[in-house]
Amino acid sequence: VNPASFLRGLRRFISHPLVVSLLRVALGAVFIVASMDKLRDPSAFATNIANYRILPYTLINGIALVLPWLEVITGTVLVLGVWLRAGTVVVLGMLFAFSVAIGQALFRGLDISCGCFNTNPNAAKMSWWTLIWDLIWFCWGILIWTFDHGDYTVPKFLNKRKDSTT
Amino acid sequence: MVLYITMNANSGTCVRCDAFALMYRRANGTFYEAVKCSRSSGNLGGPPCPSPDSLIRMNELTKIATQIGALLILSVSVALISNAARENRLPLVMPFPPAYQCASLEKPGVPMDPYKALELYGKPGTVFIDARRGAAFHQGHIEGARPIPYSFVEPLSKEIVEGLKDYTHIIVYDNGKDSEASKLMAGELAQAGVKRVVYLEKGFIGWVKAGGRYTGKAPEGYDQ
Repeated sequence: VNPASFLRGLRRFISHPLVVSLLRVALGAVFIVASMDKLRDPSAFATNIANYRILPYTLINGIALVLPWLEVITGTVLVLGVWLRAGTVVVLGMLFAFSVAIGQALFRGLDISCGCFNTNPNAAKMSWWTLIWDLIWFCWGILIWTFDHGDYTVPKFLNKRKDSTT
Repeated sequence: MVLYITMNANSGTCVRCDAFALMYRRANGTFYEAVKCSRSSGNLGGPPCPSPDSLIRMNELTKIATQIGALLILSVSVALISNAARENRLPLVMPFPPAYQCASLEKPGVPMDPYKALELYGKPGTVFIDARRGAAFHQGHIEGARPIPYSFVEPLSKEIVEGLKDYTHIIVYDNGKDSEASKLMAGELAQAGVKRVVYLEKGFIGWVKAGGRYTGKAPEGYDQ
């Protein structure tokens, strides 16, 4: 297989409006699912954040309260395709921050769990795979930013319906 | 119809911007002033009129920035309201010091009864490790114990682990009700390859009650 033509084919596949829309919905769903446990127990999530030891303790509880809601709101924004560009930027920003936090914790050898989907501090210890997954999500977000032009979104669907009725 | 025109500073001529001049003025405050003028009004000293493409891009960026701001404000508002409505609401500032917890709890160390530890006390190759943090060690400790404060999250250094491998019996203790710090430290040492490492059940106070020797002040109860 010619690598250049393979890459061209891959690009064509990923940039297909339906495929990139599915990627967007999947990423939004990941964020919604990730927020559930944190919304249920913000106190445990605050301990998760404290374990990373990069934030001043005065900010920890505030972030533990706001971050899950930011995740669920931007996740919903991505799933619906409303405010697509803004939602993608916020998700990319969060993923970048998570990558930095996880990377520094791994570099320092901190014995902590990620707190990504499960707030139990005694859950499985984070590993380099945690960081790799986070970077995969980050690249996923860049694909959405680059290729998703809002072809399969709720606003587009509503506009089409409005046009057809008029 | 109002026609918006701005001046080209380079050529000194009037350039028609149509509706874009208004947008540009809104995006950049007063720096680029859109003026209503005629070809005969002369050079007003303004910069060149921007291209429609750059105006559209700028308008798009402004829109994205506004929406990001709205997402953040919405998240903060909902978070504060939901926290206020919660029965066990989280204080907005975490009490100091923050409560750290590590992920190794599933592999705690092996316990040792204080009376069993008394039998090993003073024998060659036996060492007692005080895992407590702060000034607790200086106030009172098991006689001959070594202070190695355990911080839950920070891993034990290689030097400490290697240094302990020379001993035949290592007994870690603290003075917490559940001996959590010593339990975790003993578990971490065992996982790091240190053999015959245990934690002292019932802590420092259990040791004192069992008649063990100590230096300084005896504890009155478990540490909070």
